[in-house]
This record gives sequence, C-alpha cells and structure tokens, in this order.
Amino acid sequence: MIELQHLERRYGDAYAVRDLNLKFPEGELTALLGPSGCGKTTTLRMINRLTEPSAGRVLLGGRDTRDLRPEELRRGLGYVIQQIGLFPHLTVAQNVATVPELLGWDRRRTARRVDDLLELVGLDPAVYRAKKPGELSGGQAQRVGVARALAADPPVLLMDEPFGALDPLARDRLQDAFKDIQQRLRKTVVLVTHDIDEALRLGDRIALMHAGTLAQFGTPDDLIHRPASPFVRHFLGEDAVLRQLAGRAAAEFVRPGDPAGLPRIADTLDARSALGVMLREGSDALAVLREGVPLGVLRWDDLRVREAQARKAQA
Amino acid sequence: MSVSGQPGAGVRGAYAPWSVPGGTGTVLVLATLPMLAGTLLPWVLLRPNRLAPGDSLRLPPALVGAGLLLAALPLLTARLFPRLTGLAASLAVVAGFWALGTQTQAAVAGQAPFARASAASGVWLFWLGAGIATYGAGLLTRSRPERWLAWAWGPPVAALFLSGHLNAWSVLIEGRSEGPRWVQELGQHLRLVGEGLGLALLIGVPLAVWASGRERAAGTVLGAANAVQTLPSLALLGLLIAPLSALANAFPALRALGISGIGVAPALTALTLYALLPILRNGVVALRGVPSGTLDAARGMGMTPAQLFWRVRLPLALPVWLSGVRQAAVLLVGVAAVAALIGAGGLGTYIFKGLQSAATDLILLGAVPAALLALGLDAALRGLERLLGRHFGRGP
Ligand SMILES: Nc1ncnc2c1ncn2[C@@H]1O[C@H](COP(=O)(O)OP(=O)(O)OP(=O)(O)O)[C@@H](O)[C@H]1O
Ligand SMILES: [Mg+2]
Repeated sequence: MIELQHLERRYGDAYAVRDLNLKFPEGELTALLGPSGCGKTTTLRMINRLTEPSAGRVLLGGRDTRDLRPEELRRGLGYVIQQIGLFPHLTVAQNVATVPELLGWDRRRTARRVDDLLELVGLDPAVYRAKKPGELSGGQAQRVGVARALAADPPVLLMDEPFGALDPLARDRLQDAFKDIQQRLRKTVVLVTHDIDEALRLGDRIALMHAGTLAQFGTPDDLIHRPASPFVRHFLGEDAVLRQLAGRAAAEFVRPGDPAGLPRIADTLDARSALGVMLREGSDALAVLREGVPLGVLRWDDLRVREAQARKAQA
Repeated sequence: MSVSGQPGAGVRGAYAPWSVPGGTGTVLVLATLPMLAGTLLPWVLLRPNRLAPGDSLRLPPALVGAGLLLAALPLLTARLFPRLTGLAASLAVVAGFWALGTQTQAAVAGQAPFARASAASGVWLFWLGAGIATYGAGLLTRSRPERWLAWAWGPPVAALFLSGHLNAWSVLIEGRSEGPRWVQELGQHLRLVGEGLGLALLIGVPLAVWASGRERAAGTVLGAANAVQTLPSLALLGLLIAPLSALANAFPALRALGISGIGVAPALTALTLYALLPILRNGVVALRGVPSGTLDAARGMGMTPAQLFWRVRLPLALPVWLSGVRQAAVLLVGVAAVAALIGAGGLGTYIFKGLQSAATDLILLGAVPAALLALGLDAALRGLERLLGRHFGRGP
C-alpha cells in the first residue's frame, strides 16, 4: 500500500532519514519504533509531504505521491499527532467534520458521520458534539483527534505518538479502544512510537529505526526471537518476551484440562501477570475462570513462546 | 465594609445568595464623601464675561439639605435594597445636572448677556461622587438584570440637555455660539481618527500577516513601529512638517492633492504611524500564538494555505488582534486632539483655543467630547471583542 523507496531527508549535512526502504502492508498496523531523534516523525511526515524528501520517493497504491497536490494527498491520509492539535475555536463536531467539509460533503451526511465516529471512539455524541476542546480531558481530546482523522474514511492512518501525552491508565484504555477500532476497520496504519510496549501491543509489524536507517522490519515475534542485530536485541531489552506477554490476555493461552486443585486466575488477567502468579504459587499450571466458571487450564509450557508460535502456525 | 458585611438585608428569599463583591462597600463610601463635600462647596461661578474673574455661589439651604440626603442615598440603598442601588446613584447624577441647571439659570437672571455662569468645584465633586456610586452599583448588581439601573441616568440627563434646562450653563452657551462649527470639528475629529485607523489597518494587517511568518521581518517591523511610538506626538508632528513641505514644494502635483507641511496630511501620517504599532504588535503576537500543533494538524488534514489562514489562524488570532485595534483607536482620539496644533482641526482646536485665552468652557467643549469619544470607542470595541471571543471559544 505505502512503499518507501530510498527515502532520504537531510538537514544541512546531517541525515534525519537515510536510504529508507520499507513497505507498509495493507490493512495492517505497522509500528514505527525507535529511540528519540532516530527519524520516525520525519519519516511519517514525508508520507503526507508535511516534510519533503531530499531524495527517494513514496508510493501510495503504486502512485508517486509527488504526482498529487499535497492538499489532495493529505485529505486521503488520516493524521493524528501527539499534541492532538484540535481546533480550540471549534466544537467537537466541527473538529471532526473538518475533512468532510474540505471535501464538500453535504451537511446531513457530515452530521451523521460525526455522530457515528464519536460513537466509534466511545464518546456519546449527544454529550460531546457541542463541547469545545477546552472542556475535554486529555484522553477524550485524543479520542476526538482519532475520530477527526477517520472522518473521511481514509484508507491510511498516520499517527505520531497519539497516546504519548496521556497518563498510563488513560493510555492503556485508549490503546485497547484503538485496537478494537482497528480490528473492525482494518486501516493501513503507521503508528510512530518510542514505547516498546505500545509497539508490541498494537503492532502487527514493527519497523525499528536507528539513526535514520531501518534496523529491522518484521512481526513482534521476529524482532524478539530473531533480532537482526545487537542493536535490536539491546533496544527491545532482555525482558521483551515479558513485555509481549503483558500485551496479551491469559485467555489466549488456555487449553482444556482439569482445573481441580490449581491456583485460580480470571481470564481477563494479562499473560505476564499469570506468569507472576505461577512463580508466586510455585505451580506450573493455573485454572482460568471466566466470571467464576472454569474455562480451562493455562500451562507454563504454553506460555513459552515457541509453543505458542507452533500452535499459531498449525491454526 | 458595612455593605459587604450585611448582604441583602431587605431581600432575603429570592436573593438569599446575594453576593456582594468584596470592596463594593468601600467604593460606595468613597462615592459619598465627594458628594457631601460637593454639596457644601461653591456650585456656580458667575463672571461678568467669559474671561473676567467672578463670584462663587453656593447652593441654597434647601438644596444643600437635599444634596446631603442624595449623597448618603446610594450607601443606604445598598444596605436596605441592594437591587435598587443603581437607581439611587442615577438619581444623584440626574440631581447634579438638574441643580446645575436651576442654579446657573438663577445666577444669570437679570445679568448682562455676556455674563457666564459656569460649574464650580462643588458640581465637579458631586458628579465625581455620583459617578463612583454608579460604578459601585454596577459592581453590586453585576450579572443581574438590575445592573442596567446604574445607567438609568442616561435618558433623564439627555432630556435635561435637550429641553434647554442647562442652556444657562456657560459650556453650552459657548457650544451654542460655536454651534455648527463645533459639529464640524467633531466630524473632523472622527474623520481623522477613522482615516488614520483605516490606513493603519490597511497597512498593518497585511504587514502583520506577512511578518508573523518571518522571524527577522517581525523583529524589524516591530522595532520600527516601537520607535515611532516612543516619539512624543508633538515631536512626530513637528518632524513630519519638514519632509512633507519639501515634498509638496518639489512636486506641485502633490500640493494640488492637499499635501503640505501643515494641515491634514502630516496629521494623518502621524495618526497612521501611531496606530500601526498596536495593530502590528498584537497581530504578530496573536498570529504567532496559534499553537503549532493546531497548525500542523490543519496542514496535515489537507488545508490549503488560504484555508489555513481563514479557518484557523485568523479566527484564533482575532480576539487578541482586535484588542490591539481598540488600543489604536483610543490612542488616536488623543493624538488627533494634538493634531489641531498643526492646523488639522478637530476637537483639539477648542482645547488649544481655550488654553490660549484661559477660557475653561472652551477647553471643556473640546476635552469632554474627546474623552467621551475615547470611552465610547473603547466600550464598543470591547463589546465586539467579547462577542467574538465567546464565538470563538476563548472568551469568558
Ligand atoms: N526542521 C528540522 N531542522 C533540523 N533538524 C531537524 C528538523 N526536524 C528534525 N530534525 C532532526 O532530524 C532528526 C530526526 O528527527 P525526528 O523528529 O524525525 O525524530 P523522532 O524519531 O521523531 O524523535 P522523537 O521520538 O524524539 O520524536 C533529529 O536529529 C532532529 O534533530
Ligand atoms: Mg517524533
């Protein structure tokens, strides 16, 4: 869908991005991960031409983006930024309606779309439609930011640290909400983040950048189990597996079995915490309950990722 | 003090949560004192002609009694019927005008036609006190329907003027004898302010938009405008005389257009230059104050530069920018008064004429309308700002 070819951006003599080649698969979420200053934002902004490349090109659906007028290109790419950037003088509804209005949709259709989107991001339209951004919490404002980016139903969503300004609790909640939305909409998403947990949790794929170049591109499992360089291993950290488990529910690993006599956990618990319970209880199996009813058994062996992968491959 | 300690004594119930802003009591006490003093001081100055020294006349005992009562009325009303404080203060204002009318009429009765009865210190003090009382009443009834009572004096005072009740007052005698010329000078004053402001907007708005995006340009433009502002208005007018008369001499065509060293051309130039700074400064500051994240988001959503300006930058900058325009307008009313010195006309003409001949009434004929003009412009533009601020979600 989006392809970067020998993409380059220089500032003076310094390269912000250097010879970057990358294909963002259609309908998937690719996390653009890397340490601060490695060129993530620059890369993202070269896709919608807020920053013009010094060399190389960006293909969108096979077409060179330079052949499009920048405004036209951008109206087809949803864009969410860390500072949220809502228009303080407009209501929530008017904010969300920005791109449909630029595209000249009629009023009725826009209004309906705004309500649908507010519902999609979990805000009651009747309550929030007429509010001004100044009356929203950070989490609510960012939800509006996501709704605004989705307004004209663009096939591509570019997000620059969209959850970065939120406190951990709000971030978790919004990440869950977004994962849900993405499962329904299947947009091609490029999500810039320097948060490894976020990348492991939301990314179908991860593009790890280092000093303006691509260090590795692959699934989270690829990066964790088959790091391409010491930098990748080092950046993800020795506890990367645990971080990945933290982003999954224990229920994903449950298999049928006899739960009698085993320590019990709820199915909503994340897999890393389940592992913690095993260590604490000195047990290599746990009974998983859904609302008090036994669901099955979670075994130590199943948490070992190679097993999980093998199962995934079979399925 | 006394008032705020005893909020709404007489109106419990509907007005139980009556809140007296701290200090309103003090304001009303401060209003009482000048009114008391004014009642006891000379009320009218009677002179055989407009320049000769004269005699001070006091109020007759009955009116002194009434004046003392009126002086205390706003404070008393605030304690007993806070809702009606505005009415009491307005009553005091109207009474001041009415008493001035009767006293000046009585003073000039039977005098030669050149005799002048002007307002003496008592009237001014009484008005000062009454004015403070209306201000205090406005504070007391803020955000309540009764706040308009603080302006209730307007129609009766206008009626007193129009009915001729105040015609014996020296300022109005001067005004009548000036008559159409005064209206002309007022018009000239308004024209100077309007044209100066218009020109400054014409130059300043595009310049501010242009400079707001350029670091160096913004610094230069603001520096230049600042330098102009530090020149005293008289000095600036003086400095403009030489180059403009040189221009007019060099190009007779310009002279045909009315450009010369003295008169309207240098005055308008000076007014424009003065108005430029607030308009530029606030424009640049307001346009640069638009959050970069907002601009980034707008651009990222595919707004063209024009859409970005009209839909985002301008609406967000407008409230702050307008307050610069308001400052410029108020400033120009004052500078335009000085422009009379180089023959540009306007209300300043009366001020300088009066100063030259030590005729207070003439000075007032120029100064009071100029002050009212400034206040009126300020209030009107403030209202506009508030309206826009609310519309754009920045206001109260
Ligand atoms: N406008 C600019 N002028 C000069 N240098 C710039 C500019 N924008 C970015 N850079 C440089 O390019 C490099 C990459 O910047 P970029 O913003 O893409 O980093 P990032 O990966 O998004 O970092 P972060 O996680 O901190 O946001 C940095 O070294 C930065 O200093
Ligand atoms: Mg960045």
